[in-house]
Amino acid sequence: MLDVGLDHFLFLSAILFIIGMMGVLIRRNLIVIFMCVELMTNAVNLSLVAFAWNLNSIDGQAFALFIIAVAAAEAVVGLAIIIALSRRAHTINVDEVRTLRN
Amino acid sequence: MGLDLDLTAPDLTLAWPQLIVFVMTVVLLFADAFVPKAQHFATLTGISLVGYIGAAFALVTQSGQNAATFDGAFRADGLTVFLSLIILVAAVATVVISASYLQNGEQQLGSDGRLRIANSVPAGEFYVLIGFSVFGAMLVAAAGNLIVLYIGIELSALATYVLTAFAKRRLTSVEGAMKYFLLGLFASAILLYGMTWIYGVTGSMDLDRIAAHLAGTDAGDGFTDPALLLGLLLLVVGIGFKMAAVPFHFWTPDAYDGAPTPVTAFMSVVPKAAAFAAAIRLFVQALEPLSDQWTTLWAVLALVTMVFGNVVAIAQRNVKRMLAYSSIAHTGYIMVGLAAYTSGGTIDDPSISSLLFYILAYTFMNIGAFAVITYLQQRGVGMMLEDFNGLASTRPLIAVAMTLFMASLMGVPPLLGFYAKYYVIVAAIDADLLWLAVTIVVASAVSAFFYLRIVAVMYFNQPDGRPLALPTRLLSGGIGVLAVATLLLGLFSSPIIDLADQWSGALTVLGRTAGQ
Amino acid sequence: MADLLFLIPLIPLVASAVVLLFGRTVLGDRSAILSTAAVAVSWLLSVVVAVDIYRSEEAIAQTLFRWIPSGDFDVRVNLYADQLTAVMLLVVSTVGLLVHVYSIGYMRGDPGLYRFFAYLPLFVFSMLMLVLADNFLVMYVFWEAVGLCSYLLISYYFRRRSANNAAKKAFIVNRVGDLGFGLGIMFVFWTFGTVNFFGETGVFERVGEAGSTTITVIALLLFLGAMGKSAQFPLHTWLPDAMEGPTPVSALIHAATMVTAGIYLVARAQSIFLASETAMLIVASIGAFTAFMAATIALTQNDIKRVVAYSTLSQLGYMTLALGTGAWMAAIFHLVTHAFFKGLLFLGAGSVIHGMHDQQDIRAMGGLKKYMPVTYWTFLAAALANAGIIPLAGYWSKDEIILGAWISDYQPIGQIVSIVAIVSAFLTALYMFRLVFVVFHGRERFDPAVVHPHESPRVMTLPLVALAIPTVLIGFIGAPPEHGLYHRFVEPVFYDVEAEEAEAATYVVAQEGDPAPAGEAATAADAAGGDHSDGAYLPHEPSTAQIVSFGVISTVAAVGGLVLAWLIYFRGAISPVELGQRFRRLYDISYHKWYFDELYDGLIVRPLRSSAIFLWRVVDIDVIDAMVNGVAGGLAAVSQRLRQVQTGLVANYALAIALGMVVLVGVYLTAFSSLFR
Repeated sequence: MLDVGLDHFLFLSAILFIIGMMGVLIRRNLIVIFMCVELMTNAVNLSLVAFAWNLNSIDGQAFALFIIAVAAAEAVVGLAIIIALSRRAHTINVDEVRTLRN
Repeated sequence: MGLDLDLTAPDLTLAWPQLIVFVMTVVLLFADAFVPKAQHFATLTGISLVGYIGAAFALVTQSGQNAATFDGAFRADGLTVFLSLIILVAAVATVVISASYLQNGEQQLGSDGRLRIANSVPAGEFYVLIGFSVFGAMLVAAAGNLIVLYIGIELSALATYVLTAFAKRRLTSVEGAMKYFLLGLFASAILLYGMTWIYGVTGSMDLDRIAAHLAGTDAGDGFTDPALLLGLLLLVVGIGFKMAAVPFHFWTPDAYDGAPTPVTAFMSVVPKAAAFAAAIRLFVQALEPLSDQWTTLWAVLALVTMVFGNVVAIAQRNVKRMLAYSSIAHTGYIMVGLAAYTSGGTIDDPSISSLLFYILAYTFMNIGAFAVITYLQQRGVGMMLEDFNGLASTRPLIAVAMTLFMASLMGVPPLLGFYAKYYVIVAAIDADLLWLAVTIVVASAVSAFFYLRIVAVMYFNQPDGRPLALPTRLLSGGIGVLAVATLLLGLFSSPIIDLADQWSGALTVLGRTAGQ
Repeated sequence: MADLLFLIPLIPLVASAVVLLFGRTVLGDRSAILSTAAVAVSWLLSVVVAVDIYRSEEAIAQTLFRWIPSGDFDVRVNLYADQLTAVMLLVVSTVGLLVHVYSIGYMRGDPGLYRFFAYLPLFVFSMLMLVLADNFLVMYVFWEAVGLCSYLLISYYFRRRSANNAAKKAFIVNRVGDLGFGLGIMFVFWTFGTVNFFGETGVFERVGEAGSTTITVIALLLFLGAMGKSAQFPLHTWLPDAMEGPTPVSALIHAATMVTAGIYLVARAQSIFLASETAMLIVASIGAFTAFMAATIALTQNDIKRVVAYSTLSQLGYMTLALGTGAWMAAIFHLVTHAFFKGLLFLGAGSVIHGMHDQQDIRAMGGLKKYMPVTYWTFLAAALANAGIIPLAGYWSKDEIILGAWISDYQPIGQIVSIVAIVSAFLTALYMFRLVFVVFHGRERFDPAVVHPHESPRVMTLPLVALAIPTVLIGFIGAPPEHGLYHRFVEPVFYDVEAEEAEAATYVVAQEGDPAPAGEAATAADAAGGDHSDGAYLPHEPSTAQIVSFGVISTVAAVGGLVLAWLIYFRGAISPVELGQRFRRLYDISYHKWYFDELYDGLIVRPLRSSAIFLWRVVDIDVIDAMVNGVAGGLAAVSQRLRQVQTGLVANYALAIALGMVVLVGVYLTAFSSLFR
């Protein structure tokens, strides 16, 4: 039996964070990018809870809950912006929205 | 698990400036729904102004305080007061200059040569969002632990994302918001990750306790723990994004360009002030023992940022974009204050006070410049350099004000911007960063290139003869007050810098005693 | 009272700002009333302050704010008013007020009225701040500010090319002096580590700490500044040209107040000058030369304002020579009386010009007495005062200067300048009454069909009368000589009263030991206890015999000049044309103002211009501009390149953030962490 310790959580969290980041960099669909950012946030949450568990402190869990709440608010704003954009530009492919540049 | 819960009631009197802004925002939310249309605009504007000014007075009564409540999560100290005052000044200025924009909406010059309204803007929601953003920024300034810091940053940023997209019929507005939003979230995740590592290494969310822990583990040969350094670097990236430091600045030109101009004025100051508040709280207060590590980092970033911002601004013909790059450059100057921090900072250390003074100066001159652009937008044209043609002959006073703002941004003595740069340069020299001080001077010289171009266009070109609306009384009054402040505040810089000194000194002294 | 001190300069400043902002659009002609009212309030406060100082016999000070906190260099903006300042406040605000009232009439209908009434209170503000300053730096700032106001007002009629040139000339010539003043301040800071005037750590208390060469250099540099502002030879050429400005400006700035700033500076820095005999010698010589030279030039000029301007130069020379011979109180006394009678002369000249439809040439006047009686009588009073006819104002102060120079410590220069002063007094009376007789008496040399001379309106004649009263009476504050009200009031500033009592004994011995020639008595006193470097300086008590004999001498000189003028220009007993032919050479020198303008043109202006053209055509365009343009072009190209980085693609932006993060983390962890060790 393998003892699951802090390092395992941190490692998993780092992997998730990097996957999310690569997703943001590679994907072009706005909604998918948004989901990838959420993935990064959740990776952070995982680390936080793991640290809190390891440190025997409540702060980390509390922070994680706040982050989830903020993420919900972000989703609202994000989806609103995506809808507004798709109405104006008729696309949610980020590469096609580049009137502002230089 | 022995959880140490402190159940004493929080001392709300320490937080009432922030609470005033919060309550005002909620009142605005209701007033938006219930106030009849005839008095709608005036009422909401009035509530906003009264709220912010009331909060400012409440803040002034707190000067000299140095206390914490909510179990250390909320601090009422000199830094809170100084930064919150700057934020409130920016808020009042934004309300004043956005009035005409909100009344008239965004106008465009149609093919028939007539102005038509392209985007009407709901005033109530605008004010509510400004209120939340201001509240968030004030929370950052008052944050005593990582959670409040993060919540404040996000609250402020979320409201600003929506404000950026406020002219939702205009693609550029939504596009700017989309970029700002996505990248903002991305940077927030990085910032959060950094906070997590700091928490993991030090075992605390509380800023003072983090400092204490680090000071306790300081073996005297510097910090080499990779986890701690990783946390530090991720924080630098996250905060650097919010400040618009190169290379994390890419959202700035697009978002500034796309956003409605009063919003641009607001977001060039308040989120930036919040970012620097977070930087001071995080680095100077919590990670003070690591200052040898982070001062070098900020110094390099400051150099890159001011050079890049100033150089790229030269090629811009869109004044809003030019000012966006200029604001990046100013971020660079302000960062010098952080870079010049000498570890174990004392009252004599001029770095943080120079930073605070710079933000104050930047607030006046930058909002002033955007206020003039807001006025010009009533012509229903874009914000290109050509739109300033001959302004000196059609609206001489506004041209004079714009000249003052440009000269101050450039750093011409004896205007406010000159004193701000002067103090930052002195701080850099005191910290043996002579190369950085020289770069500031050279970069300022380069900046004359694009700032003076606006002045030249105003005074030397012929007006194009298009109709030019009168500025509303509120807008012209606002521009006037900002111009006078830009002109005169510099002469009274020493009392202001004394206050900043006292407060930043109290902060660092406090950090050190907590750390021992 | 000390709390109100700041209001004295502030109120004119506010008025100036309001008029500048709203004068053209909202206020219009009401600008004049607003500015005048502001100066009137200032005047009232000045009187209150002066009375307060007179009663308490103590200086009052007010701290406003710290201006430059920078390590050791800590400059505060403080206001300081002692008896000397009080005198200056009264002079500036009184003449300022009357000139404002006069200008309401003089400038009526001028399209740029609001500009005039914005600059004029601005000048009053700057001048008041200059005399209230308690350190060199603040004084320097307002020294420059009054120079700026002078520039703006000289070029008030900016469409006139000559006015613009005169303004530029005034500014540039003053630069030379200001450069000296600025260097002097730097030397002061370098030597004493402070620029503050007063207190234990102030400059004036610590003059003794510096070496005698240093002090001489400082004194001479400061005096260079004073020479520029007070138009002393060789920096005098700007003042006559400055008459291009409106006449009220000439009266206020170029006669009564600004040009006396140099006198004030030297008097204020008394202890510095006392510590250097060389400096005193130079001050006295330059003053005497200026007094004499200007008087000779005034004899032959034909422009009414120029005659008065050269007279101003000459009187400023008197003040300077008084300073240089240690007759401090006499210098300031003459400053006060001169402010009134010269202000009156200018306003009278303005009234004549006004009544003659902008005619300034005295050859086209004559017989104006019957057309403008008020102007005539007031002008006559001022001319008598200027000529030093007893008992008008000028007599008392000028006599005191001549006597003070004669009996001063500084011999033989004192007696030499005293004689020069007596000769100049003769010339003064001569040119003054040449003016009076030619302008107001005799034949009417204008065409009565074209020109209809008329008396000026009430608003202009009223200030004339108001100024005529002090012109006649103000001398009595200095009577009897050396013991008047004025002397008792100002004495504490210049003479250390306690030291005076302590040294009184030696002084009495000196007096009794050798009662005869004053010069020897002076040297005896000097030898007995004349250590001047500590700032304690004793006035010489002139004997009654000296007072009476010098009173007679100066009266004879003045009356002699008057009678000669009467003979030449009234009776026609001697033909002026013939005189001119007879002394052709002398006449030419005087008429061409000793050829100073030509001299400067050949020696300085032309060589400078040709070298400037060389620098411009070769160095500037071919070298510097090419370099600057190259750098600018390069920057613009780089800028165009760099803006391409901003692709507009979110993905690229995110990539930049991520890459930035990776680079930072990579470099830092490798370099600093224990990970790779």
